[in-house]
Amino acid sequence: MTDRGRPAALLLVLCGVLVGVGNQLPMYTAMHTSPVDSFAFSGSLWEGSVPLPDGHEISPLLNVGAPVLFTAALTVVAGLLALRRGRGVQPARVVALAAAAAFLGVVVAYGVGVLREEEMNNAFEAATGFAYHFDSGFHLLVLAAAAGLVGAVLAQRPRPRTEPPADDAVVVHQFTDDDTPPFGIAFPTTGEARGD
Amino acid sequence: MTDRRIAAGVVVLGGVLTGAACFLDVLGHRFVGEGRTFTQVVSLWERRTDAPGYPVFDIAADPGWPVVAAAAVMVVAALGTLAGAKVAGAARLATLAGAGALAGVLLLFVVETLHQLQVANAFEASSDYRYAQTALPGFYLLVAGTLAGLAGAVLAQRPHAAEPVADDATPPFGIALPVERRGD
Repeated sequence: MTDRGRPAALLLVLCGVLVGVGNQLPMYTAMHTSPVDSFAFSGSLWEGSVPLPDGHEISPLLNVGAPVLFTAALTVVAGLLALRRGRGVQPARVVALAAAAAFLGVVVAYGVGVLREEEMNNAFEAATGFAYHFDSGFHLLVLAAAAGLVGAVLAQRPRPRTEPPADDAVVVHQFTDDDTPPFGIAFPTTGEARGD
Repeated sequence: MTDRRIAAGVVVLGGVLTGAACFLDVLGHRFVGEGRTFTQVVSLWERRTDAPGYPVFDIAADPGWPVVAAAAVMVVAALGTLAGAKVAGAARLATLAGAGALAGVLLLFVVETLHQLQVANAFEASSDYRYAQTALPGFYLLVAGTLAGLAGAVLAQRPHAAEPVADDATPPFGIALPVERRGD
């Protein structure tokens, strides 16, 4: 069995880095053009598209960024815990895969929501038209979701144990014998010939 | 085998509940202002409102698609866990992945709905408009289906004890070994 721990760990860390960078970047850009005016706006995970009245704020936990970060962090932490040996590995494996899939579900549902917003805006403004396109932040999230899911799947395989040597295997014992020089020890002899 | 059947059954129950949610209304919105009241009812596939001038949406990117896709993976994979050992291993992982994805879709739906409610409340405070949001049966079924699917998928991950080897050739009292008496 090959050890999949290292590629799994690399993919999980990559997932975390991509999410860490991607969640701060714009997710999409909407272009609106009409004979009267034209403008563009971008969507992010942390800011709503509707400006709120003064003195009002939305809880950051209710922005799309919150479930994105929550599921991604759970994927990375549980996935890395699942790569250890010992107790608690099996629950960590289950949590890692469920969280990675939930992260993918959040990203896909968000992407579908952006496409829906484009369709709805065009239904209101059929004569003019909105054009949405996804930006680098969303692309990074998709890559992160793919890396997280593959990493979590690789983390499901039990890591190979270090097997004890078989009974018939050759075992080499090396002693550190500093007392004996490599040319041996001179043995005192009397020089007399042995009698038969 | 019994454990696996129970787990698969719970997942399928989750799929049925989720499927039922797809045919029901999920959320209701009520706007009151300037002496008039408008309502909007939302399912996973359409929006109906009595507000005048509101366009009839014919939308391809319905929120139901991610729900159906995740639930389908979850249910098909759960049935796969009852197949042979080669398929069952991968099917168990796919069941958990489908259930997890469904949970993610629902999580985003809940967060966006609460976000919408907070935005409406912010505008309510500075205007005469009033807004109310109601969870409808489809929403509760969606939550129940997701939780059941997730529970069944986790149950399916439990390691199963190795099944005893059926050795019909050896009777319980052993096999008589012919012994020849040695001559001295």
